[in-house]
Amino acid sequence: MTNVTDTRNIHWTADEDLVERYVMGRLPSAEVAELAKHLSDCAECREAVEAERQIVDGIRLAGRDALKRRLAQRVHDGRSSGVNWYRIAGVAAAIVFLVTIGIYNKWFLGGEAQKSDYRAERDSTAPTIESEPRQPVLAKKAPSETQLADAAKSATGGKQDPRRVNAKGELKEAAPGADKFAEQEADRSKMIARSQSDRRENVAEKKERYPEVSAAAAGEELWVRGEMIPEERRPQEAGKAFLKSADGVRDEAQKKKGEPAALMAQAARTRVLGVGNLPLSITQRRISDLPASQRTGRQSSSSVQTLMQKSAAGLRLTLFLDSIHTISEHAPPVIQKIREDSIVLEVGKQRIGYRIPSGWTDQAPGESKKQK
Amino acid sequence: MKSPLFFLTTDARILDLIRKGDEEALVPLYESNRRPILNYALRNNGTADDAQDLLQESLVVLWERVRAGKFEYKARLSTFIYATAKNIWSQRLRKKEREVAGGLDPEGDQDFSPSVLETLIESERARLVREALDRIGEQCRKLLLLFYWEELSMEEIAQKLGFANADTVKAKKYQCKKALEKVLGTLQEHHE
Repeated sequence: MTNVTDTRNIHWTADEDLVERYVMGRLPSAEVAELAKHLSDCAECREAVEAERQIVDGIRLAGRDALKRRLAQRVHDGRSSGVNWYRIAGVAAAIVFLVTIGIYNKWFLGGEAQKSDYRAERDSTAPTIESEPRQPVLAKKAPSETQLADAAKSATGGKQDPRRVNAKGELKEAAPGADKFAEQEADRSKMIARSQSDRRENVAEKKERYPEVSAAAAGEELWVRGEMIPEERRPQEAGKAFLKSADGVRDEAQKKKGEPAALMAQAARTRVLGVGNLPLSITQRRISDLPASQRTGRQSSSSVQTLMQKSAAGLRLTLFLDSIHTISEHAPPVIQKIREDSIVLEVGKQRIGYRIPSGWTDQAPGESKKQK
Repeated sequence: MKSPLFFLTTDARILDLIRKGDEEALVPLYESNRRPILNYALRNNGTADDAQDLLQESLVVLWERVRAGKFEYKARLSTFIYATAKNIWSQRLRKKEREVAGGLDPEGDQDFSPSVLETLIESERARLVREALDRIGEQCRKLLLLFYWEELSMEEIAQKLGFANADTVKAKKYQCKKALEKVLGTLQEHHE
């Protein structure tokens, strides 16, 4: 190395291999001690050893840095590929889960699943619908028969449904303004009866258009006609009077707890959002989707051809309209029950009156058997 | 709860791979020790970057010891790595404290302790050596790294780099080192 040329024969640091082995720790400890003793007396030798040490340390440092970089790269690569595998596994698990749920619904839940499929298919294949059909508050989620029974039981304090107790007479007295509308509705009973007769004729066509529903709910569908209520005929005051009188009955009932009037008041309030025990859901479709048999000469601007379907999930009204009314969170459909068999439906700005056939408002299919 | 036998067999497999020079063996150690060392660094005024550096440094220490045949298995590898990281961090903190003390009161104790100056000089010379190493060609760089850092024998280097025999490697190594010293001298002159 440097500075030892003139003392080559004296200083051991002249031997480059020896210096290298000394610095790298490859010498026996006894020899190291002897060489170290010489270093303490020789500044030139110390300098030579130090120069060698710096080179070796520098190379080792470079090696360490390179290993660190390679390690970081390996970890990064491993993580990248690992995440992908986890993601792939996660997606695969999700697909298997969804397929399993689908098979379960299809094969084990039967009619309900088929109805759900029908609804999904219907909504997705109705390009003319401008707004998403919105379920009214009580019909957001279709309850089971058990849930319906429990809800009715809890609403009436565990007693029998009050709407069965002398409901007709009480309501007549409570809402005299509503009777006018009810009378008009009664005039339309003939039309409804005609619809019922038409139903038989339409079975084949409905099976073609709605095969799942026809199969699942045969005998529980009805075509009815709703009346568009003009502004001057809207029984708003009648509705208010109805509610007011219902509250009056409730107040009266609070004085006489447990009497039928109390149950009636509870029922009157409940009817504002539902029809009997049944949650009610509303779907809008364009009139062009109306089955051909329902179109024949009976369309008018003052009536709404409506498919009424009754199931364990509740009562569904499918309205066939000239234009789809916007239904938003802020303007949900309002249902007012004017009489036991008559309701007024407020969809957007439009009010439509219906007469519901007896036996359709109180129970879901099969519920009467359970109660018996 | 994993049994001691699990760690023993896992550690043995990792050590075996390191002895064979398989750097992939460090990856599972990196992953399994990342969280404890991160927590330690954060608890001791460190950052996430410090923790990463500590972990890498500890794994390099393990690598060097095992490769040099100086590693003695006394505890689990994770214990060794954690203890090494703690030692490195303690040294750095002590060094930093000395630097701060010297910076705050240069006129006071005149504490230009050799360790501080040496550290600065060493780091500068090490930087120059690394720079010189990058300028002597890839083959020379690899050869010197294998000999001085990996501490492989001439035979092993010959096999790894495709030389005819150990003597050839020895001659080549001599040339490479002389080239390194020459470049280093130039860099030092330029630096000064």
